[in-house]
Amino acid sequence: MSEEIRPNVKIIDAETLEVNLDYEITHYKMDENGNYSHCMVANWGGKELTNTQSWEIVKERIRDAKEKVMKNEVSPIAYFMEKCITDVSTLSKYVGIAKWRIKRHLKPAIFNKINTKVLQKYADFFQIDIEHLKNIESNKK
Amino acid sequence: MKLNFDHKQLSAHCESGATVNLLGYYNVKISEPMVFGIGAGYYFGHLPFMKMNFSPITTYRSLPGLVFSRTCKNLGLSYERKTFKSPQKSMDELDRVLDSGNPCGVQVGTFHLPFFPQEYRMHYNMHNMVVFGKENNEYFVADSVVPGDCRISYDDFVRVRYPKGAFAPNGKMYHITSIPENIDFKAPAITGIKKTCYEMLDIPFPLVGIKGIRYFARRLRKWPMKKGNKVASQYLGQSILSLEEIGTGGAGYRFIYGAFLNEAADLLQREELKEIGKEMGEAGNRWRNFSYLGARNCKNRAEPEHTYDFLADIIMDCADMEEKIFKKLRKVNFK
Repeated sequence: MSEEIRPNVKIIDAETLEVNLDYEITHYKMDENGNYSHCMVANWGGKELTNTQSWEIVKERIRDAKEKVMKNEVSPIAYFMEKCITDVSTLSKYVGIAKWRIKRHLKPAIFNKINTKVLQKYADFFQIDIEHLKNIESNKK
Repeated sequence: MKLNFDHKQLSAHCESGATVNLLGYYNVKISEPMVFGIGAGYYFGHLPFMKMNFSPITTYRSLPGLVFSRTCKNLGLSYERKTFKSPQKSMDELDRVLDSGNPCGVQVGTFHLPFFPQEYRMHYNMHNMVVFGKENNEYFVADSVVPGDCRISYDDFVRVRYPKGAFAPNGKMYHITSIPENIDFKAPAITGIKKTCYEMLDIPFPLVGIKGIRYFARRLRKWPMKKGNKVASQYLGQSILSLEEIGTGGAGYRFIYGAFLNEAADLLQREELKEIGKEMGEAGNRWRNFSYLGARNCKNRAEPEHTYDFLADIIMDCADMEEKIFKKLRKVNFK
């Protein structure tokens, strides 16, 4: 992407996201005579269960990644990657770094040796500063 | 500059909605089910080798872009569709189209879309909306899921038009270039029905159409054995989400298609279409039944409430119903 693009939209924070169950979407329905109509509904019967589960899975992955980062088994990139609901191949396209390099960067020993320029690429996509990327606890309010 | 654009109704399917809105600007009155039917958006495919949100993709509609292009082709409109490697060029082209007085549809990714409801902002790159004006570096867009007109800044807009990952749109944009005087929906509706029958019954590939539904059921049966209850529940949850939540109008477009058949029955004066439309609704109810019962399984991931065999049987049922419907639909004499 070119230099002049500076996005200011905040990306979602999957770790703390709360599912809004009242958001209405259009549903079509049929009555007994075979006539159709459409209306706005917030819940079709299982919205809460499926939606909550799908975010619960994401949150679980984030928690796992965080634990591993704490134990120094993987680098913080893994944690932020899960936080943006990405996997290695999507992340690779966004930051412009080859997949095998990202996989290498997931190792803590190698992560410590990455230079600032490359770190900045990751930080730009995650929308955080480099300090926070190096130490995931540093940005706690 | 802002075009005099009327954001008609909120629609279930984003691309049909965008097409309705685009056509509405040129005074073509058409409903969402009609667009969906003429564009032959009805489809089924289960693609276990492609993953979205870490689960295999189950799709209930045709590829993004097809509904618009087929609708235009069948109605005899001409349109222009472009993708660009360079974001700068695509934005310039968008400005040019807007300046010439045409609203423009764009395919975007939802992950960075600021006005979108948070829980739908996953890496999903097949959302469609209509751009109809620009003012002070801000664009006016009509999104079929969000009520009212929205504004989005230039930088954000570039970002949502160039997301990465599966099905990346690369700034895909489309607009109508010319429109015939009188538009007749009759012949296009028949073309649409024929196309859908072909896609559901005759494609010689096991993962799509009615065969695809059966394939999906067989896979579903094996999930708990192969992957364990937890993963099975995750996969099931994702397929239910795409069945009910992600812009389908409920029960994976079955109701929308029923509404289309109903409308087509009046248009073509074929009573049998109305009956088939009713059967379609029953198939929709069956699908709804599946998603309702399946959702219970997501409550406690480790211990499913219903066995996967039971759920797979429901889907097999749906497949039988739909096969009957489309075989009947194919035999309807339109002459």
